[in-house]
Amino acid sequence: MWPLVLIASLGAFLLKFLGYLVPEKWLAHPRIALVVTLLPIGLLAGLIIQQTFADSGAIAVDGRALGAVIAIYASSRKWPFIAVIFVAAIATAIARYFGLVN
Amino acid sequence: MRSLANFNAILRDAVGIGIGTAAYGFGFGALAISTGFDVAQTMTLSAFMFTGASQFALVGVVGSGGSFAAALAATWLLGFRNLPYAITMKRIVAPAKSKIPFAAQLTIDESTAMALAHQDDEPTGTAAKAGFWLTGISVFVFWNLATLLGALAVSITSDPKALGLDAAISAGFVALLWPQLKNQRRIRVALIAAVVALLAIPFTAAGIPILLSGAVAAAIGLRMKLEQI
Repeated sequence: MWPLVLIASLGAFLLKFLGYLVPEKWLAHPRIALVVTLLPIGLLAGLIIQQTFADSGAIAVDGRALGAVIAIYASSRKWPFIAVIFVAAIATAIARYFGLVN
Repeated sequence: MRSLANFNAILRDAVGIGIGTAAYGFGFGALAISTGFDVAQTMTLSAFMFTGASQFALVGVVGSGGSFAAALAATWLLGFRNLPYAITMKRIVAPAKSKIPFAAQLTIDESTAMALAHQDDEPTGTAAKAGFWLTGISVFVFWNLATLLGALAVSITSDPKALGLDAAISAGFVALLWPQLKNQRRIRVALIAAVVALLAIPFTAAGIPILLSGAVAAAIGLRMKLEQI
């Protein structure tokens, strides 16, 4: 397991590090600025979907969806970050305890 | 930095975000141990890799019996978003050469989001720098402490799902995306990216749907003008 842990970690670090070595003028280009703005939005939207609905390569609707819906409501009410995830976790845990969701 | 009018507010948010990530740092620690990683390996991932989604992906792929290459691919594809984050932070945080390795290590969703959220506070950009460094350090400390606690407590909480920790991760990503949805176009891009990920899940390996979402968002961006977003 150690080779995987170390190689994967080194690669993840180099991806971050590389961004600081890229020439400044790349950022001045409007297309780069557009991609830099929209890429994280797309990736975060994808992360939400994968984390909420993916289950061993299939789509599943379970307690995670309840947590995500609660998070959307809480975010729209401008709750602090910690409150959003705390309430989502508690609500999902309670719903699972009573067998309301998987 | 301390002379900033809103320094205390930024510090308070940074600590709050750090505590917030602790919930899933705890979940990661518990999950990694139950997947067969030992405490030292789990802590190496949280301290050295230090990018949550990649860490979960690595452990998830190993846990589901994925290959060495599949685990690496999922980890790096998820970590790829840190590259544009870093390009943006180079401009906003502008670290001195000697501080670049530290800035790079702390370049994650939360520190980037905080820097972006404060970039227009005042003309010098000091608030954005404070947001980046304070959030990065706060998340690093709480994330690693929580990972250790989760790893040690795994025998007690053998089922992170019972505590809703998997839902907490979904909620965390929602909370991170929300502040970036400042206008209709951005919302539309996020929705299209979400649909792409949903359609891709049954047909692609773990991690690929996220990359496709990013690619679609970038492709849409190339058809827009900067002032539109």
